[in-house]
Amino acid sequence: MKRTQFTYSSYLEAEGRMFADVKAFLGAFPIKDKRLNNILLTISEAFTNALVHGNKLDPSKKVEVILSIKDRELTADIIDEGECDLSFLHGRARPEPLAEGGRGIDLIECYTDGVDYQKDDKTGGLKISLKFNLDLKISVG
Amino acid sequence: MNFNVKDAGNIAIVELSGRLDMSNGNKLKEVVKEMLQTGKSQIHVNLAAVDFVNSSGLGALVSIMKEIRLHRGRLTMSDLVEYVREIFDITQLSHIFEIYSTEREALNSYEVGVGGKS
Repeated sequence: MKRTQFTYSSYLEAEGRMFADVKAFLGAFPIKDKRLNNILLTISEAFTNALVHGNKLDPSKKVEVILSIKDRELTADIIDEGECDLSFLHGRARPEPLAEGGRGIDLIECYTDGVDYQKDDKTGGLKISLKFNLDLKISVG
Repeated sequence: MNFNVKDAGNIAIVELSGRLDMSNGNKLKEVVKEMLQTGKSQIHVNLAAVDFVNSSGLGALVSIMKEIRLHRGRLTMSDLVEYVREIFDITQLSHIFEIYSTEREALNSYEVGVGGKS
């Protein structure tokens, strides 16, 4: 199994750094370009949610990104230090056409092979676990 | 993300490159706000060199469209790469924005009035 972990303070600019870090890690695996883009987009959406809605851009709060690849499956855990409000999952409607937000969860559910939202035992914040089946030529185990 | 702004008659063309995310989306909103303040309300955004857009970036585009409409202006876009086009389709924003295949087609549509979408 290959595993790595990144931690970021909650600044707007952290999303760009996270993107570069995750792309560099995943770049070592033979993942097709389109699939890689979809994975990066999905992790970006979960990370932005953690920064803005979880940690409310409080720089003293951290977001952890944990990536692990085993066999042909990638798991990405994105953990914030916020209040873990899961109410956004209930009765969620598609955003109004001219809404400026609310599309992130739809994109996450479109491109993942499994997603789980739960309260993180350690931080008390929200933990979003994303699973992706990878069409790898080799097995990572 | 880089912003290159140029004029084509009374149309301002904004060429974006790189990633359109939350941080860069805020910068785009500032650029368009400055344009509107100087009387430029016909704005074309060329996305040919944008290789990544997330929901925050899409939100910024919706925001500038609403601002432009408030100023009785018009927003067009063109040259979406396949991957970015797919994100617009999934979120159904391709039905909301006025999107053309090429910048030339978009600019021509200003000469003949509001044209159809590609």
